Amino acid sequence: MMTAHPPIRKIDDYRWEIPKSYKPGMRVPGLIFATEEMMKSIRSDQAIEQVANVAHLPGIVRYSIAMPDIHWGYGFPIGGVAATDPKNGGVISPGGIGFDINCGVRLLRTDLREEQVRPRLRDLIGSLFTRVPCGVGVSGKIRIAGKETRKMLVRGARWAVEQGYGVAEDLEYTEASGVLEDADPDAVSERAYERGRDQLGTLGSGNHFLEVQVIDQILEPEIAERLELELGQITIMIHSGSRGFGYQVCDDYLHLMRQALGKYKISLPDQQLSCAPVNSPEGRRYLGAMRCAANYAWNNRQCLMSLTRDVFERCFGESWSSLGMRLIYDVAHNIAKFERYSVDGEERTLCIHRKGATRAFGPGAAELPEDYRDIGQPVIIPGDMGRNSYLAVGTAKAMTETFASSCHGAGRAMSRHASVRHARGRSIEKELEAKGIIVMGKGKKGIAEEQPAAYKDVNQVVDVVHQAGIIRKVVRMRPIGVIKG
Amino acid sequence: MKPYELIDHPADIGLKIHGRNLEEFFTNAAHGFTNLVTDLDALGQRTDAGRQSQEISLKAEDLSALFFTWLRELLYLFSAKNLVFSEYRFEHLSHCELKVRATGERFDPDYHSQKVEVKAVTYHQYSVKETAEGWQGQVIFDI
Repeated sequence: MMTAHPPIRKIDDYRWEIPKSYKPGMRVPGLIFATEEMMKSIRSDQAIEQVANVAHLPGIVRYSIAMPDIHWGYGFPIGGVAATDPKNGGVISPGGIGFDINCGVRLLRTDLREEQVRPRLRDLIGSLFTRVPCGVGVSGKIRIAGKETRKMLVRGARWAVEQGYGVAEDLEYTEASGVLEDADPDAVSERAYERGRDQLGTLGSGNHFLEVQVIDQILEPEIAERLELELGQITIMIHSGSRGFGYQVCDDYLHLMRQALGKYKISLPDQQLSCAPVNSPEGRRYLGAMRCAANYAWNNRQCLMSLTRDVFERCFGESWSSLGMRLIYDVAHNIAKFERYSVDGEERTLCIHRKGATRAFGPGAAELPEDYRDIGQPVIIPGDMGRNSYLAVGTAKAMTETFASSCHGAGRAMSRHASVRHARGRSIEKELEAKGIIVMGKGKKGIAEEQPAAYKDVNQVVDVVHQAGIIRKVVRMRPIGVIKG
Repeated sequence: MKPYELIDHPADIGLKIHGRNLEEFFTNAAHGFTNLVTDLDALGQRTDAGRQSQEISLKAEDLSALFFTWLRELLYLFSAKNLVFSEYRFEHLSHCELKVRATGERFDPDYHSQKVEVKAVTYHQYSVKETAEGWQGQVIFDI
């Protein structure tokens, strides 16, 4: 279904504004980060309409923002950022966080170099594929129940570390130290507990992955050196979230809030944007449950990292610490956080919805680990499995312009259906192997759906946020081995 | 009339479902959903797996809500209980209530084909309407 083209105003080469006058219910304008070329494809689907729809949320502040990896989602666009002010009727919208609460990425460095890994790459990827549970309907090996689950949901990734999955230092290099406080296990439904029961330490399916990469470009040598990252060095990236647990939490509260729209006299252009005031019983309860799901996800990525370290230890016959497998950082890209920003000359605590957007704190942010405080927060931006991924840092400009947010990936360019058609008669695995990339996945269809051509070029996407000044590129990686669910 | 068609969406997947009557409409939607998760035609062919049967009773304020609840229930039964169904025997089906016996088997990732992981049923562009031929619905799943 095509929609009329909204009158978009070009601000500069990387910024576009959807005026508030475009739709009668918009409370703020829309702001899209993209190049002129990207705008052509962004205009061709419903993503722009969705940016305008998000601008209807009560209490939204300044702009409904979209990153260059924006694509048409359901309700909110993917790559969207919305800040609401709880003191001015600001709402929280489960759809503005997404079903996969605290879906995110972590990046590990190693002391290994490409030439050391190449000869054993097939064995390594094969072991990762066998040892790291992935795919549809696949259970994990970590079983917890009852009180222990509640403890895990409240303590966040500290729980995993206490169980032996990693070390305390890992928590320091995790967004929010791997825990959102005030998680409320009583706000979580029995169904969410059931769906999450056997999925801790599982990668999942779809766009989730575990990737072995090589650093192929150094863009900020000083920062790279501080992070102990060099050309030719091996890194590992893990992308997963809160699994069935988070999906069910979002589903439960979307329905609750949809039923409460009348009670709070909220009218919205799309039911999938259903929301409730942050300071309402529904809003507070959702926050309690969302924090549990966020904590579940940090435990999940912590356990996945631990499984990965085990595989490397076996494969290289050395302990993970002597292989230098240190966590660089872990970022959430589907989450709501309360952060303080200056709006109209006044410091305010805002509820920042990031759906397919990464937090990008600039230098000086108090939450950053001490040794990162002067360089800014590491921002991890994965691309598709045939091209590149980036490690960047947040900037002061991100703090003032985008509520410290940046893009979260390349963004899809082709529907899954079209990707499968595009891959017909070809072997994506063989094509990638010819480029030196080993891919192992549970289904051919899954690999076809995730083929490089299905995504925008991450290099162009990251370039936009870099040129716009909201992040600085530090290093670029290319994949050499990928496991997919 | 095709029982269901796939709708192209950049990140997710949708179904357009048809049925000459309500039973057919609900059954076709269930088949469409199951076929997203695994190969529907391969169900019921395994001799070593015990058949699983589940009674499902749902209520909602109207047909649109009942149809939505039906899809959510099938997703829950797959995701939490690992159940996939290939047959439905409706004991009761009205606009606000249904009672059905669903028969299928336990999903085994080593045996059954794995297609996509459906995370949720969304309200985005969701619709249920009566047509000259019967019923038509549209739904987008988050995957």
